[in-house]
Amino acid sequence: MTEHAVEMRDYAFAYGPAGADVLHGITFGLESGSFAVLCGASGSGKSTLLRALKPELAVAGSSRGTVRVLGDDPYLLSPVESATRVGFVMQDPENQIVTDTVWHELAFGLESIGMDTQTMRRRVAETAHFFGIGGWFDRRTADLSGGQKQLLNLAAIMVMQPDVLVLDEPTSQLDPIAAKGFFDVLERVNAELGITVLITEHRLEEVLPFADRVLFLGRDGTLAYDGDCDGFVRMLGTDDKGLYAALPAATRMSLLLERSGTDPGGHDSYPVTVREGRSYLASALATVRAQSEQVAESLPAERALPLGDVILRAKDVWFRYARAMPFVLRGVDFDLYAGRVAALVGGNGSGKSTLLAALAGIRQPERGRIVKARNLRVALMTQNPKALFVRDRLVDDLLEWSDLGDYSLSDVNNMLERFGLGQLRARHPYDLSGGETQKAALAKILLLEPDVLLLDEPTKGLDAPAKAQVGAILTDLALREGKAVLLTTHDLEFVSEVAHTCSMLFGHEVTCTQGAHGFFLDNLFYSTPTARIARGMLDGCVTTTDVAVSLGLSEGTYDG
Amino acid sequence: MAKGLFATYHPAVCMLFFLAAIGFAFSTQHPAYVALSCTVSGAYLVYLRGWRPFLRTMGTCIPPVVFVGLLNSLFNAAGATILWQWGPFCICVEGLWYGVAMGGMLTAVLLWFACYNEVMTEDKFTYLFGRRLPTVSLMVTMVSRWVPRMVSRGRSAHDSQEALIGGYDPSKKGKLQRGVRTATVLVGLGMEDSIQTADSMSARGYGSAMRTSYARFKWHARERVAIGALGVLIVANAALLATDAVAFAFYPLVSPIELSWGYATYALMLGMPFCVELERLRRPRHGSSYTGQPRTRVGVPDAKKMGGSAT
Repeated sequence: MTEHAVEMRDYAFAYGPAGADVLHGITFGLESGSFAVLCGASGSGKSTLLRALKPELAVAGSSRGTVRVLGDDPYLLSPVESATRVGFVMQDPENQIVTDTVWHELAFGLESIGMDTQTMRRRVAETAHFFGIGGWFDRRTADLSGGQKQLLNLAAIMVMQPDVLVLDEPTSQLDPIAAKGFFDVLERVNAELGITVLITEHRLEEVLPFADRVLFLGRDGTLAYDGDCDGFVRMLGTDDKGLYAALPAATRMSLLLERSGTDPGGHDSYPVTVREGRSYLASALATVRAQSEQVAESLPAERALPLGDVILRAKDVWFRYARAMPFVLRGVDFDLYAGRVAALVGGNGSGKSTLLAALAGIRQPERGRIVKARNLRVALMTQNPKALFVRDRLVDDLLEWSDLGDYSLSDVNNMLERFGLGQLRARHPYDLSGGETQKAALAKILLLEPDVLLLDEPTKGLDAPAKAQVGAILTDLALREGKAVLLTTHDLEFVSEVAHTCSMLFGHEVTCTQGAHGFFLDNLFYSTPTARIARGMLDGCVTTTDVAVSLGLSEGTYDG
Repeated sequence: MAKGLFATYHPAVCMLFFLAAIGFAFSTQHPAYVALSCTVSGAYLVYLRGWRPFLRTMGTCIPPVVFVGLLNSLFNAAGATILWQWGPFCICVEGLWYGVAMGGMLTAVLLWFACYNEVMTEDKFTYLFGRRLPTVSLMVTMVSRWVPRMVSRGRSAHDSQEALIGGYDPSKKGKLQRGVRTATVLVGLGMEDSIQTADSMSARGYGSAMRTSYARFKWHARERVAIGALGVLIVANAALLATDAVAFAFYPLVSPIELSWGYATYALMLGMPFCVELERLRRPRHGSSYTGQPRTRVGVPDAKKMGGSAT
């Protein structure tokens, strides 16, 4: 019998000896060299489970059952052994970095375990080489991009040559391109070095193609599924657990077709990538056309609404942070309409955040101006919503500006109820999950009754259900309350579902503004996966819902 | 190589050199020594950073130096040759000389520190003292990571706050209150950050064994030669100064400046960073015909032989 790299038997965990079990009856074993994804709703205990494998990080509480890493109990290993056997990469790229230079960060772990200089030099060198860090080996860690930081964190752990690599949502703070880069390296670590990988991640689109094993943690704290990807998709398809939205676009589309009985058959596994999705859709279309002459193929209606009044306008705005620095915004013209959700997309450093700051009036343009009514209230939510909170309890925090905004406790309570945060009113704001933090920050801002909401990456780090909730709230604010909403994001699928218009910033100017639907149809590279799958076969499809509509299928209960 | 070859030497050599240069600059006011120290440190700074930064450094250190020099000559009336007298104040030639020497001494020290900053970067410092004081050196590098991070955190917290409530109370008091609030936010965020950093440290075995230190620097023959030469020069100079071989007095009369071997010894020691540049002159015998073939007897095996043995 082969020994498992990671094994848990009847593992149970509770926060206190008297507390209820958060996890129980967890039993699984990972073969050496496997790549396993652990899924589950937020708050289901994924992090607690992962941390149980690393004694240094284990959550305080009482646990029962057996944990084995390479056959040994990790809690009985020597400190050095324990540090090197399991590597652990956490969510935030910033906070994991300890030292000020890249080379020192790579050496940090080896210094800690007291490795001799000669071996250390060699280990650091070969690791830097494998991860392509040679070029920025001498840089200061503060000057690295988010993607480089997380790559450095991975390298700084791999330098200790762990047998098992555990990652807790490593790319949730990265933009899609950096995330792709990270996964590519992670795949190399697994494929070329044979390191066992256990990862939690809500970008299933990126990670499922590599995974040979999926563990699914149910809401009740038990392992609801343990097997290969295909079985996982099949289980979700028949038994929707709210994770459907997190699946890759190709997989969602095939589930949809299967559900409506138009499954082409003849495939042994669900499509995961865009390429597989295209070949799947082609055969599905052939089946459908053979079955009935008149396939609906009605073009999904362009969802663009007529635009309302412009309430905030940037006119030929030029901005730079200092005289000696290049312009970040070069002659930007931009209109924001009341009662609509607008999205601003573009690469890192394209000036999205700066444009928001200029529209909010906290950065004065060097040339050009911001046009708005005198009494227009503009609110900006920056990227780290935690920075909005100062009090120990959520409800006290929301009351902080009651004098300024002239609102009362009952307003706060209503707002909490509206966002479904009523249960959490006595929580410390820092103890909220990513989605809850985002909603609480929105609630706090909305109490000031702004006319314009500028949101910098409101979807960053959110899982699919939380994203859907935020999207619904924003749509509601625009359509029902007539607020103008402008958001920046890297999540194109979110834009295609929520935004009415989409603008692209490139080369420090707005290159185009278009109805969101048309925007993605006209783009090839910068578009949603569904649009890429459907291109040339089903016209006008940007989301899975569009595919359903255009094939005349019932949308089912899937999207939205 | 922009910083010159001396900066590539082992940090211990550089450190010893700067300790000596700054130490000697402090310990003598002999005009010839002061002039030498000033000239060499100035030249080295120009060599390291170019004229502009040199002039800027001089611009900031000359005024206080002149001020100190003048003040001394004004209040110190021990000299014999009186130039000008007004009540209890008198200016004498000896006092002026003394002031100039003192000013020059300060200038030299400041210039040496400017050079030190260029050559002895922080990583070299931590490398030197890291093994003796692992905790302190780790703290230094953590702080130097932490400071820029807190600054940017603070800026973003300030921005998000100004964008929301900045318009409500533009008064000084309101600004002050918001400043206090930003500080509170920073404390909260900082604690959150540090919990995760602490996790990351312990996950990588912090405290699991005696810390060692990653060495980016090695001892070569040239380091041994350099530190030997430096040691000999330091001892020689110290001996010359201690035995009053180059004694000098300002009061009551300025002693004449006599030629001495001491100057050459001092110049040689201070000129260390320039002396090591001579290594650049070591070229292959036949000038331009350098082909990359190994000139030394040991080491690199013949490429053809290696190819031959493989087949």
